[in-house]
Amino acid sequence: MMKNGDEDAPHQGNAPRPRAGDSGLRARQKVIGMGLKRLYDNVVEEPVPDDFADLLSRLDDTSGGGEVR
Amino acid sequence: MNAHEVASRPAPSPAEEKEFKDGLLEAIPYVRAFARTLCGSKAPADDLAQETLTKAWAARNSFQPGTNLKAWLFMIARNQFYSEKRRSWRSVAWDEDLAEARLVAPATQSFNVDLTDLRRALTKITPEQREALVLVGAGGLSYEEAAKVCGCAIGTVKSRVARARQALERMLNGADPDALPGRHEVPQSEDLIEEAQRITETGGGDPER
Repeated sequence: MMKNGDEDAPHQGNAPRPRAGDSGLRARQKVIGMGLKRLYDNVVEEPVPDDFADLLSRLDDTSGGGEVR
Repeated sequence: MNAHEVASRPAPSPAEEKEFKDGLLEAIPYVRAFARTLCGSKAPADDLAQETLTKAWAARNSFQPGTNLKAWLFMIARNQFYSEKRRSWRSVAWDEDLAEARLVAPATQSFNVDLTDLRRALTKITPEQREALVLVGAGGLSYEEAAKVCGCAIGTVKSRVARARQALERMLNGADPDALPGRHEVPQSEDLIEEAQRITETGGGDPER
């Protein structure tokens, strides 16, 4: 699948800094972090279903002041 | 958010109520995304998100203005999720139909992540690690805010996030090839869904393991 082409040579190509495995690790974690953000943002960017607007408009009727349980 | 605090705060003015509601409205997409992390799939997550908004509105007097509303809502969602025992610990951490295998990496990177692989890897780390990582790494919460949401110490959040990052990196970098069964085969989404259903039906694992 679409991963780094050669898993035995993760530092090939133009990896940012040549400072041994550490910078490669950090670079990979950064990419993973971007992927995580992308997954999350994909949901954030989904259109919000109409039920939510309905729900918020109904909230007016309820009395406030309760406590989170 | 204890009873005394609630009692001591004056009832919000109509303007404050409106502001609070506007805040809820803005936060909806984020609450949905966090609920999706907890529940794994869309319909239960949206149910949870709606319950969260209802609870938040009912408890609006206990919200401290000026603090992070999103974090407060995440906390309510999380409490609600765990109190309802809607546990789907190992189910998919986002619908399979989302985020279709899109690559995320600048061309300069020698390491790419397939989002389908990442989603799968996320199901392999513990729920505690996943939740901490999502709150901090995607939700943009500070460690302190995430600690409040999860009801644990800041140091605990930090170590969970660090462990989650390490585990994902190991899995996705091929150092732990068994961690992603089926990675080199056809998509296993049906199998995953079946597995998730089986786990849900049998009551799931122990969250405190």
